[in-house]
Amino acid sequence: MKKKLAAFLMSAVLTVGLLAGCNSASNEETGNNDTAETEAGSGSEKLKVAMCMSHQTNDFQITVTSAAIAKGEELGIEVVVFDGNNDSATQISQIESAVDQGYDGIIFEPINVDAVQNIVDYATQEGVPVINVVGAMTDWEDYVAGYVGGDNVTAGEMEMRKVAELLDGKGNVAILNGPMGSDPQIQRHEGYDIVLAEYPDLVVVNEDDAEWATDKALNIVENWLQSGKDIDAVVCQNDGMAVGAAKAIQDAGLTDVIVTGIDATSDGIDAIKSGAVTGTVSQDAAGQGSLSVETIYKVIKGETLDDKDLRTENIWIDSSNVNDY
Amino acid sequence: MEKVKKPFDKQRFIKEYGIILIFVVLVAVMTILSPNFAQPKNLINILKQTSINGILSLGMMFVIISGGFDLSVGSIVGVSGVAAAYLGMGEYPLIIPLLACIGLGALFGLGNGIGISFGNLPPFIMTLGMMTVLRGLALVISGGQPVTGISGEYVNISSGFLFGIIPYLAVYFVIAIAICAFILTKTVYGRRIYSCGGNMLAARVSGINVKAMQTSVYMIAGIMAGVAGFLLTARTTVGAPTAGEGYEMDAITACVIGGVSMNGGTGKWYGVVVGALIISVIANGLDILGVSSHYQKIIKGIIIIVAVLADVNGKNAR
Amino acid sequence: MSEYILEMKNISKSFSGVKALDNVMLQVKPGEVHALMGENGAGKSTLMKILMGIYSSDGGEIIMNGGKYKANNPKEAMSVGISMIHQELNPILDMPVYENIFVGRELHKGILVDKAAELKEARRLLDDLEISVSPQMMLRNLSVAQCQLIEIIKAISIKAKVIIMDEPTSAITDHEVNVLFSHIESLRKQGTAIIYISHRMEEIFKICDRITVMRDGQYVGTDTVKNLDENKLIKMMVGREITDVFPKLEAEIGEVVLKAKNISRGKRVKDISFDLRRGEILGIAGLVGAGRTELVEGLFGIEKLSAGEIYIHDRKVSIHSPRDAIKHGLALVTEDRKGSGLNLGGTVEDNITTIAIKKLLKGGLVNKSNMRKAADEYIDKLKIKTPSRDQAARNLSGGNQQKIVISKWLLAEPEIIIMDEPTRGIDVGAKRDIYLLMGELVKNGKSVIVISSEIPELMGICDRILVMAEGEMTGALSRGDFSQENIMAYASAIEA
Repeated sequence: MKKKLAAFLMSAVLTVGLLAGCNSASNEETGNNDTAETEAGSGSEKLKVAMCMSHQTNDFQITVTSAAIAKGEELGIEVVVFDGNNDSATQISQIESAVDQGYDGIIFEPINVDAVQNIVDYATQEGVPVINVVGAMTDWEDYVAGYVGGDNVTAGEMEMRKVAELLDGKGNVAILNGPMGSDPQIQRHEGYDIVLAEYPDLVVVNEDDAEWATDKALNIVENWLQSGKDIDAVVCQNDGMAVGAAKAIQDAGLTDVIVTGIDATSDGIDAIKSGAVTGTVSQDAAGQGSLSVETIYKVIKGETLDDKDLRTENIWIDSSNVNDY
Repeated sequence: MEKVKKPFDKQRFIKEYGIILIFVVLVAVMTILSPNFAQPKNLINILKQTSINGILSLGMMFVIISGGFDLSVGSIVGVSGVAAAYLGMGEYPLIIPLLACIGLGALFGLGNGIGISFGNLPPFIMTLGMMTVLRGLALVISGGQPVTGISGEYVNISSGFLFGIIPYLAVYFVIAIAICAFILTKTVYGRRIYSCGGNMLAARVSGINVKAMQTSVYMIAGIMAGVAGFLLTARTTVGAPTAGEGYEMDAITACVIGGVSMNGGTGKWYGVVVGALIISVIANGLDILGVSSHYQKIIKGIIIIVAVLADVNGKNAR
Repeated sequence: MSEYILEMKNISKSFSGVKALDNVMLQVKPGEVHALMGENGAGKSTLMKILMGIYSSDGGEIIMNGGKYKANNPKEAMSVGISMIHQELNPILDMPVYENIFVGRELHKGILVDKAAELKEARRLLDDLEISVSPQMMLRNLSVAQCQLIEIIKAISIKAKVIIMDEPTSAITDHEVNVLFSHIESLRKQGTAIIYISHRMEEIFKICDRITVMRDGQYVGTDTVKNLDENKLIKMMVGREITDVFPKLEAEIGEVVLKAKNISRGKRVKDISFDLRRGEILGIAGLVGAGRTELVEGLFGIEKLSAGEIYIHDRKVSIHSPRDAIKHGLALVTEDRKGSGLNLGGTVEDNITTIAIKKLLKGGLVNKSNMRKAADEYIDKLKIKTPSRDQAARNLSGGNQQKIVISKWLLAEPEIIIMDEPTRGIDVGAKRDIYLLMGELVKNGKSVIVISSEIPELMGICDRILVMAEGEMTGALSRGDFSQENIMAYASAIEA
C-alpha cells in the first residue's frame, strides 16, 4: 500500500511540475497570469479568447500562437493557448472547459477534423463564437464562423513548381513525406501531384515517410544516395526534414542537389542562409495567428465577415530574400 | 551418484553465436537483392547509422542485464541534444557541451536509479515518468523549436573521417564497445551486474550492494544517452527537442535481438552490437530497395517476437 | 574469555506489532555442531536472519568472537565470519558454477576479475566434496541436489567461523549427506561452529553436539544430544507428547483404480508398470535423479510420455495435459511448491480456490462468500496457521504453504492424489498433520501415491513401496517386507 501511495504521489508531483512548466512556457512571452475575470462579454473588461492548437512542439506552431497573443494585446484581448497534445479527446475537453469557463471566443486547430462537430455545436448553443485556424474541420462552413489558414495544397504546389522551374522541367525527384495520412501530408502531396502531372519529365524516383524528423530524413536520404539512382532534387514536406536531407547530401559531397521544404521555421531559414537548403514556402504562420485573432474579434463584436474563408499568402523564400526573415 | 557429461552442446553454440550467423545471412541477402548495398560507401554509411543507436543500446544493455528497464533514454537524447546545441555554437570548446551531456545523462540516470532502488518504483513506471518529464523539459528549454547555429567544428565531429576513410562516429562506437565490453566481462563490477540480474535476492544475500548497483546502471544508460544526444546534434546539425523519439525502442530491440534476456542475468555485448547492426542493415537495405519505412516497423516487430521466442524456448528445452 | 564463539542474548523482534521473537537465547561453542530446532513459525529463520544482518533486532545483544556485534547487512556478517546456507536455494541459474561460488566475493586483481584463480579454486572445492560437476556448467543445467551442494561449497569456501546451515540436506541423497557430514567434521576440527537447522531427527542425533529448541518465538531450552531422545525433543518442540511420529490409520484396500503399463519417457523413465488400489498409500522410493518426479509428471500430463498406457477404473485414458488429468480425478502436489504449487503473491483464499473455482460459482459468476467458506473450511481442516485468509501466501512458513497447496487440490475432490516430497522442509507437527490427512483420505476411499526421499517416512505410512533407480523400477515391497536396507539396496541398484 505504501509503495502505491508513493508511486502515485511521485507521478502527481511530476505531472504537476510538467504542466506548470508547459504553462509558463506558453505564457512566457506575454507574462500573463491566469487570474483574469471570467465574466463573459461585458464591454469594459478584457476579452478572453481560447486558442486550442493541436500541439506546441515546433517552430511553426509557436509562431502562430505568439503572433496571436501579440495581436490580442493590441486589440485588448487576452489570448490563452491550449496544447492539445495531438490527442483529439484532450482537445475536446479543452474546448468544453473554455465554454464552461466563460471565454468570449474560441479559435482552434482541429486535431481530428471529424470529431469536433458536437463540441462546436455545444459552444454555439452557449453563445460562444468559434473559428478554425491552420486547419479546418469537415463542413466547417456549417459549424464555425470562419477559417483562417494556410493552404497546404497551394503550398505544396508552389514548392514543386519552383523545383520544376529550377530543373527546367526535367529530372529525378525524391519526396520526403510527413506522417502518412495526416492532413498536411495529404494536402501538400495534392499540391505536388498537380505540378507533377504537368511535367511528365519530372520523375519521382524515391519517396518515403520521415515523420517530420530531421534525423530520420538524414538516414533515409543518406541511404537513397547509395541506391544507384541519381537524385536531382529532394522535395520535403517540412523544413525539419529538409535540414536532414541537406546534411546527408553535404556529407555525400554532392553540391548541386536541390533541397526544398515548407514552413519557414528557423532551422529552415538558417539552412537557406547557409546555402544548404535551396528554399522553403512560408505559409505565413505569423499572419495566420494574428489574422485569426482579428477575425474572432470581429465576430465577437457582431460584425459580419466579408469572407469567411481567409487564407494567408504563400511566400517562396530562398537565398534572394531570406535575409528579410 | 550423479555423473554429468558435457558434450559439445550444438544447441547452445547456435544460441550464443546464432545472432552473428543471422547477421551474415542478412547481409548476404541484401547484397544479392541490390549490388549497391555492398558498396564501400554504403557500408560506411551503415557504420555511421549504427553508431549513435549502438551507443545507446550499449547503455541499455547494462540496465537490462541487471534486471531493469529504461524507457527514458530517448528523451535524454533529446534534452542533452538541445543543451549541446546551445553550448556548441562556438563560444566554448567542444569539451563543454560533451561534459554537459554526460553530466545531464548521469543526473537523469541517477534520478531513475534512486526512484527505482530506493523508492522501490517499478522500472517501467519510473522511467516512463522520466521519459515524459524530460521530453517536456526539452520542449521548454528550446522554446519548442530546434536549436540551430552549431559551429562547423562541432558538425565535423560526426561527419569527419579518421585517416580519410573511417568515420569518426564509428570510432566513437568502437571506443564505447571496448569500454563496455571490458567492464562487463573483466571487472568485478560487471560480474556483479550479471549477479543482480540473475537473482537479485541471492546477490543481496551474498553481500552485494544491490541498491548501489541498480542506481549505477541507470546512470550508465543515462550517460550513454547523453553522449548519443551530443553526437546526434552534430550529425543533424540541429538540437531538436523531439530528437530521439522512439530510440529507446530501438535500443531495447537491439538488446533483445542480441540475446539479452528481459529477465536479466544474461546477455553478451557482441550480441547487442550485432543487434544494432541488424537494425541498421534492415533500414538501409530497405531504403535502397525503395521499400517504405513502414515495412521496417513490421519487420522489426517480427524479429523481436522471433528473438524472444527463441530465448524463451531455449530455456525451456532441457 | 568466554567459552562461546557466538552468543545471542535476549533477542526480541516484532513485525507490525506481532512478536516473532521474545527474549531468545543462543550460545554456540567453537568447533561444535549446534542444532536449532522448532516447529515452523517458531522463529528459527527470523533469529538467523537477524544474525546475518538481513533483519535488525528490536532488543538484546549479540557477542561474536568476544566483541559486540551488529550486522546491518549480509556483507558485514560475512566479514565478521558468519555465513549462511539457505533453505530456499538462491542459485543464479544462468551463471556458471564457479561464478556462483564467488558471488559477492569475486577473486580479483584490482578491479579485474581473476577468472583463472576462481576456476582453480572452484575445481579444488568441487573435487574435495567429490562433486562431479564441471565448474563451467550453468546452474540451470544442474539438478536440485547439485545446486544445494554448490550452496554448501559456497559457505565452506568463505572459511567462516560460524556457518548456519538451514535444511542443507533436504534435497540430497544419503551418500551426498555422508560426504557433507565428513566435511562438517573437518570444519569442526578447524574450530568452525555450525548452527544446524533441520527437521531430520536422525541427522540431528548423528552429527550434532547440542540442541537448542524454540517454540512460538520463545526460547525453550538447550541440552546435549546425549541427554535427549526423539520423544523428549519432540515434546520440547511441540509442547506435548507425540507418541507416534508416523501415524497409520486403518483403511480398507479395494480394487485397482489406476493401472500404469510400460510407462516410458525417453531415458528418464524406462518401462514402468504398477497398480494402485483404492484405499492404498503407495510410496515411491529412490535416490535423487532416479526418475520418480519424471514418472508422475508424465502420468499427470505435464510432460509427454514416449510410451505406455494408463488405465483408470479399467478404462484406458489419454492424458495429454494436466487438465485431462484433473478431469480423470488425479491431483498432483508438486515437488517445488514455490515454483509450481503456489501463487506466492496471491492470498491464502486465492490459492485454495484456484482449481475448484467452478464449484464455487453462483449463477456463473465468482461468488466471494463461497470462496471464503471454502478457504475457511480447509484452514480449519488442515490447521493452517495464518492470521487470515487474506494473508499473502509468500508470508507463510513452508509447512503452511504446503498445506495450502494440498487444500487447493483436495477442494477439487480428486480420486487419486499424487504427492511429490510433500513433507520436505516441514516441521514435525505439520508433517504429522499431513500423514494423518493422507490416512483420512484413503480411509474415505481415495488413493495416494507419495514420493519421498525419507525412507523411514515411507516405511511409516505406506502400504506398499516401489523403488526406482536410474529410470527403472528395481523393487516392490509390501508393508510386511519393509526394511531400510532392502529399500536402499534397490535404490542404489545393488543386488540385495
